[in-house]
Amino acid sequence: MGHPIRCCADGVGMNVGGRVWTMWRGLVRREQVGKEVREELLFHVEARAERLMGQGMAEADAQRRARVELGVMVANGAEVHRRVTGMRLLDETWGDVRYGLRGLWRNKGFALTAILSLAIGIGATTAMFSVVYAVLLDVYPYADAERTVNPIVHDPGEPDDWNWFLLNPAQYAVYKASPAFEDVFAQGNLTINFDDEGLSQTVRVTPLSANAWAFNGVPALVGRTLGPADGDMGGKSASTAVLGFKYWKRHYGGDREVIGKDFKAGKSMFKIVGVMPERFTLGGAPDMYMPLSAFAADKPHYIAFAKLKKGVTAEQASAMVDPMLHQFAKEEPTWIPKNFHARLQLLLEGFTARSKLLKNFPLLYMAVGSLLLIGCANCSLLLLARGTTRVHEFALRAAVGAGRARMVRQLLVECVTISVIGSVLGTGLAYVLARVPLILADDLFPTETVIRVNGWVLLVAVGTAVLAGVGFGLLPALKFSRPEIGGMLNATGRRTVAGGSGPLRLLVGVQIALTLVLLTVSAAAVGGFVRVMRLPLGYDPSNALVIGANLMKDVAKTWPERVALAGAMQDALRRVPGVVSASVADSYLPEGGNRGIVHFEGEDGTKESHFFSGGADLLKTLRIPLVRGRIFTEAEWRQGLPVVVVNETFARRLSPGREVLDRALVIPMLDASKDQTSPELLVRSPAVQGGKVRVIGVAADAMNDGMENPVAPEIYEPSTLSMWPYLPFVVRTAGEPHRMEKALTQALHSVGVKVAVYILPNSMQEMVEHENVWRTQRLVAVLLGLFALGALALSLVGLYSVAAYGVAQRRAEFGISMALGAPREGILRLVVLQNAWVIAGGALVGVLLALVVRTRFAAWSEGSSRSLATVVVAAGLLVVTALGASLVPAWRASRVEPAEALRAE
Amino acid sequence: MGRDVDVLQGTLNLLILKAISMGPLHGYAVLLRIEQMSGERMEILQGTLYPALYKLEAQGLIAGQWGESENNRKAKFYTLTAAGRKQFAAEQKKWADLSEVMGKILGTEGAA
Repeated sequence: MGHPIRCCADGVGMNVGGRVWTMWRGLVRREQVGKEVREELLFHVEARAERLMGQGMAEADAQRRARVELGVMVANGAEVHRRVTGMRLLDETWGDVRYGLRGLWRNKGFALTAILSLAIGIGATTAMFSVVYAVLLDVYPYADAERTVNPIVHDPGEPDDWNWFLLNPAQYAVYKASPAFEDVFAQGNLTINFDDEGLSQTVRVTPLSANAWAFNGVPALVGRTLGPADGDMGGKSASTAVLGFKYWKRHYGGDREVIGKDFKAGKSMFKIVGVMPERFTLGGAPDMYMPLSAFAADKPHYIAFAKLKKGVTAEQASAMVDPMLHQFAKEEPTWIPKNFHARLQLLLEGFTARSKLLKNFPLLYMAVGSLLLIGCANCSLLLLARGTTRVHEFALRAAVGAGRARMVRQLLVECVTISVIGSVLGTGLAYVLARVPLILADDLFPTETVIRVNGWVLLVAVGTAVLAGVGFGLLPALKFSRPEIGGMLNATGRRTVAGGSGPLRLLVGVQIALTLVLLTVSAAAVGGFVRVMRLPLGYDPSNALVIGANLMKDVAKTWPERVALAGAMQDALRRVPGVVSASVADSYLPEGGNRGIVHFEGEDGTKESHFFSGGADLLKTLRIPLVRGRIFTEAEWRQGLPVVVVNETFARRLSPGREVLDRALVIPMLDASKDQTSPELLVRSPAVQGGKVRVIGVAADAMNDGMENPVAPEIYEPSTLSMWPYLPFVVRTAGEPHRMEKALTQALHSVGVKVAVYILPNSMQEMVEHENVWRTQRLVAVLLGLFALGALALSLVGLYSVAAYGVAQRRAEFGISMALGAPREGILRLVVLQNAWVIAGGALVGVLLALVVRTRFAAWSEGSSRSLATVVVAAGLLVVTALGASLVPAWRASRVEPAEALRAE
Repeated sequence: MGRDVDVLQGTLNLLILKAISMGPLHGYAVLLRIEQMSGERMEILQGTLYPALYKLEAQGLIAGQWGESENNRKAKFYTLTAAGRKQFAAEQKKWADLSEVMGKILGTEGAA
């Protein structure tokens, strides 16, 4: 026989659909189902009675008999129906939930605090870890990003100076064939601007070789990516484009129907075939991608990104391509420094803020970890405290016959309710908090960075919080395993369970210690940021912006024309209402722009200096004070006379022990006979001979090498000494400079020459705020500050609730004491003292921990002072607020009316 | 009307399925049909019938539908669902096997 027979098995299979349907009806149409059950049974009774009457029974008897035969069903049919269909467990649980919710609603303060504690802990932790994941672990969406290298060479004398190199098609082919690489793709070296249907809408395009798509391995979000059929490197035709995510959102409103649409660019028509996902921002987040063949230049040059063969390091690969690059440099010497080493740079190394952030992340990790701990501890505290006060309630329930399982279930439902609501809020908070880093410091991160809340991290945080909530919430239930219900019933809250306060105090102590650590750390971070903010820049970046005019071909080609044009534009800018001052000035502050070498006439040693070219109002407009001497006059500037101003660092470092004023400098860059740079673009002052200039003034130091570095030597030279077909100005306005952009643009156009006006998107103030150090410090300070405030609030609430519960429990005791003549102050002192020990203990541990953290993290968190002051101030703040939090319930306790307290028994 | 045969645990379901397999029946009619099929030798306790029906309905093996009884009263009629039909066939087969085995063991083959 095939199957063994299982005797007496119920053996009924089931049909899932039917089951779900029954449950659904039982839940939602409960009344209707009950009514139908009763109707059906009524029919049965009638039918049975009829039959009995048919057998000769009297109607009344028949009715009675029919009912008796059905037994318990007649009265409890609906109940039986629910039990049989498995709805009863649901009913009971639902009852627990309702009871729990009612209880929580009655204790709104308790519930809200517990929920918020969990939410803050979960939110902060998840957001922080998600940021870390996005910034440190999963930075780039590209395939094998850890093996992809940027084409970089550097000058051995300037290890921090990177130079990207470009390759022409023949060189690219050689480079691509290097045994160091698995694959190489080419990116057009220009982003090309063109007008779209006469709307003069500028679109940034990154042209890519056909293999770039397979190389990076990122599929299109909508439609497809480009392939060899769309056009590669050679040829001159291409008619397809793939949109970047942001452009798609901005220009096409994220419409998926955009695929297949045509648009006109220049003289050609292009068809949109795909949209890339948000994180694919190759080439600096361009608006769209096209095949390289879309733009055939006369002398094309590409940036070649390479993927290292497995097992080949960037150093090995650099050594392998070094001779090749030197050969290239001989063939085409224009774009590569004279003296260089190949130094292929891994993609991640190019993300320079990463190391800075890495330094601060352990601190942030610790902060959010503590916050989660404090949140969980808080929730536990509340549940424990509440549990102890409910012993009586549960003892009573047990006495009237409630099963232990049922009571545990009741507690469980309450904890889970709190945990679930807390988790939901926490998740929401995580989504909000995870945006903070990108809002505060978007350009610290590569364009590829999209910080998403990490599901796994969220799961872990929620799991921890729920476990803590449920674990501590159930602790009171353990008491019911002991058959001491009578004893517990007696303990009507008068002498309630002294044991319960042990873990409570411990938790409060831990909270206080952790909060203190967080407070000190955040105080240090905020201090560091304030220091960065107050960093004396040496110039005034407020309400100043950089605006420039690119001269079109054949405009102002000679030196006198260019000087006249610059002067006219400067005048036009000054005439704009709202302009405080304006000057020709090629400002890159605070990063510093051109660097070059210089030496004193008659001396050999060349020195390095920054160069800042501008007009006579240069220092006045930037508000850099002149220390001695003078700056060149407007007339000297117009004549292009070789007179310069140097900064104090220059005077001190390059001319030690000798007054720099009136000394003669030789600047090789200015020597037309030696410097052959782009003679077709650069025009030079006829007044300069042999690159010689004379120092006529010394200006105060201003940050010119980034905010983390000391001021570098600087030479302020008249911009007329050598002029590019680009005329830059610094304009200081009375109000917000961005609002003046239109008026300033019009002013430059008003000169009546064909120019393309270019305004730096960031004002000078914004450039300061975009400095990595500024942004990192602000980000760290804001995050730590938020975390510390959250921790402080949570701890205080935790302490307050524990104190309040303690007081509530001892209300009767206080009543009796006072009835017997104890003074109110005595009660007050008693309660405060009780908490003071916990606070003091916690604070002591906290101070010790804070000191450990400080010594450990001092190296990591830049700008945090080592002084004890912050620790002391933080401890003071914490102790005072904590005492305050415990004082409120203590004061209430001392206000207890003895008679009332005793009556409440 | 004496009770000749006790209903084995779990067999009531099978009996109900059998009764309904021959056409839609309301609760009381199920009772009567079973008694009639057993040659009046089996009586089902009326109180046990409805829990069994509820359960079978919850499991989706039978489906209840309101209709009119023979004397024009509103009554709930049960029919077999597709799942119920399959289940009935399986149970029937199992029961036949069981009775055969039991018969063999007890030496009273075919007496079930």
